[in-house]
Amino acid sequence: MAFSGTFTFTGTFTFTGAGMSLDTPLCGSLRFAPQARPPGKFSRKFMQPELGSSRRDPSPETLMAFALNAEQELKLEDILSRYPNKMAACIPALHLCQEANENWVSEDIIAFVAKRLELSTAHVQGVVTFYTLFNQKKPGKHQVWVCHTLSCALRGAEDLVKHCEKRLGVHVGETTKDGRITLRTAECLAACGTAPVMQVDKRYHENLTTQEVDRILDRLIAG
Amino acid sequence: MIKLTNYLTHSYGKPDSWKLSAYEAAGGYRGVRKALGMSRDQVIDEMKKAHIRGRGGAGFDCGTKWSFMPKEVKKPHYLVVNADEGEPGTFKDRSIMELNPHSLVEGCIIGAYAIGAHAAYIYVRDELHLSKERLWAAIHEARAKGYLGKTPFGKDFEMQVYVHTGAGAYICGEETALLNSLEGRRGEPRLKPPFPAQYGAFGNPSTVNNVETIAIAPSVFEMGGDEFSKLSALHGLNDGGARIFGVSGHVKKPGLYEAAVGLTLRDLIYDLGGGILNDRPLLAVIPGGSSCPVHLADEVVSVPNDPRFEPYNGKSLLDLPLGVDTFRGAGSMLGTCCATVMSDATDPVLALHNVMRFYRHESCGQCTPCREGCGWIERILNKIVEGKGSIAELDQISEIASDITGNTICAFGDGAAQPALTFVRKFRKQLEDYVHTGGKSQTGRLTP
Repeated sequence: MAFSGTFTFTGTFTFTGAGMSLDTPLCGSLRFAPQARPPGKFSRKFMQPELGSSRRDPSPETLMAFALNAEQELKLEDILSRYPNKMAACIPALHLCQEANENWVSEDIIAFVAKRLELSTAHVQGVVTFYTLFNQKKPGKHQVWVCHTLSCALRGAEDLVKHCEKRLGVHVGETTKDGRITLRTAECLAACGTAPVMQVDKRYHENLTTQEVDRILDRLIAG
Repeated sequence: MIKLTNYLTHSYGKPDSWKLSAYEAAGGYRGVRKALGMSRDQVIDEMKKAHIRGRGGAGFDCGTKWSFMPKEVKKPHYLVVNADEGEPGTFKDRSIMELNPHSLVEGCIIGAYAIGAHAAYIYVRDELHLSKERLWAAIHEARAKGYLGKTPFGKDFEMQVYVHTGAGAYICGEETALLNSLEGRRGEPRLKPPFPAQYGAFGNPSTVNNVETIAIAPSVFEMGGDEFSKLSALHGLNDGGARIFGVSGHVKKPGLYEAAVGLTLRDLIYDLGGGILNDRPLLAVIPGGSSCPVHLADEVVSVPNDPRFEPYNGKSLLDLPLGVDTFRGAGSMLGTCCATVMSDATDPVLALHNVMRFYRHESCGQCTPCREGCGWIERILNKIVEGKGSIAELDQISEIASDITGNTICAFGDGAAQPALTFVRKFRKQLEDYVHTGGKSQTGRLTP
């Protein structure tokens, strides 16, 4: 028997969502309130809770549009000249902007890089959230990474981390109250032969002892 | 048999060793002149004769890799140098970039010529600021001298070298993830095929080589491929030349040693490494970065029915020459040839916990088995280390690790599963002790 029935659809579709304007320049205003989740089995709260958080709080700084100065613009031009397309300059450009913005990537930087490289902000945001070394919150003036992977751990890195925590009065991932030093742990800094190792801003310090760490931290604290 | 060499390390420790004048005074930029006098195919043949196995861990023959590049250059070709060194225990590439950067620049010209590329990108991890600085300085010096540019060494072959930076992701050491990162994307590995030789950087044919593989190329052309290969005791197994060996952890003299291939772990630990700290017995050694299986001090080689292993069968694994095929045949992995040594003071459970934390942190999150599996293993180990684990959970570690193996896009999953599987198999007693008594009879520390 041939199928001869008919379907009539009598419902109506109406979109009754709250009026979200689509021309919002940044995703910031579309953000949902972060849900507090108890730390437990399903929490993916990683090693550096403060800096690694994927949601950024709006801060007064983000209201100011970001721009590079003339010298930094030249550097960006130089970076762009190295690659066959603009997208490839994404990571070096973000590094350049991060350095120009007290070592963190604001929403303005994401918008700036996206515009300059003709990318979507979603793409740039995806890149920023993927890589550990793009800070999504402002870190301290100096960043201290203590390597705590196997070779360094075999040479006493865990004790050094504890020592630094005690000396600075912060936990790993936190910044000192005066905003000078952010303490973090690093996964293998590729200096296993001279373990234990820590990186202070752009410099490696190798074959560390607690005395040596104290000397380094003292210098940082004193400025 | 220890045969120390100094092809790459001759300048280490000398003043201004990273400058062009010092490099040329030591005979630099001679290999590239010879190479540019040959045809593209001749260069690849010479490299094949040298039997250089990739120094980044996979051990693929460098000349063969170069030969995969299309012969006809229809689209731009690229040479990409992998300097995203971050495998726990591995620290050789940084020394080359900091102390002998010109060897890498020279190698880039040879490599690019062999594969028909006019640009080379050196992908350096962001933490290595000094390496980047020295490499840029070397590139600028070479450009000023005309070694890079329109006509390097009078040859009509335009050549440029650039340094590209990552931003702290171990996974970018995987070649396709590295290419994605170079293109300005998230560093997530791509499915293969297509292989980089067909569809690599910017969709064009590309070759990705390790720093050391490229940096040794000038020495090959200066000596001749055959000569270079014959340095090695494993020349007959197509594993030629000299390479940089590293040793770290509980040894008296940790560091880098360049030697002809054929060195054994015993040579590396007890001779070059000066023996175990405090003269304690050896507990275990990881031969080349944490993705390799861990080996106990008393393991013996047993590969029946393979004539190549006849001289080594029944002997200690510590006396097996460190070669790509020897270690693969013995059920291990050579990796990067930088051994991590653990004395009997080490608590193997804590060592496993440390290693698995690394893999959980560095999994890129693209494939479910690896993303979730590494997290599960770490959480189980968290419980075991706290003394709250159970035997059922201990068994789950191996189960999860087996499920990761072979079920991911890239080799990271296998690399993460390998230590989990071997540690659980070889240190079952210690892990069970943690389950039953909270690890009372273990040392509870990693330091000597």
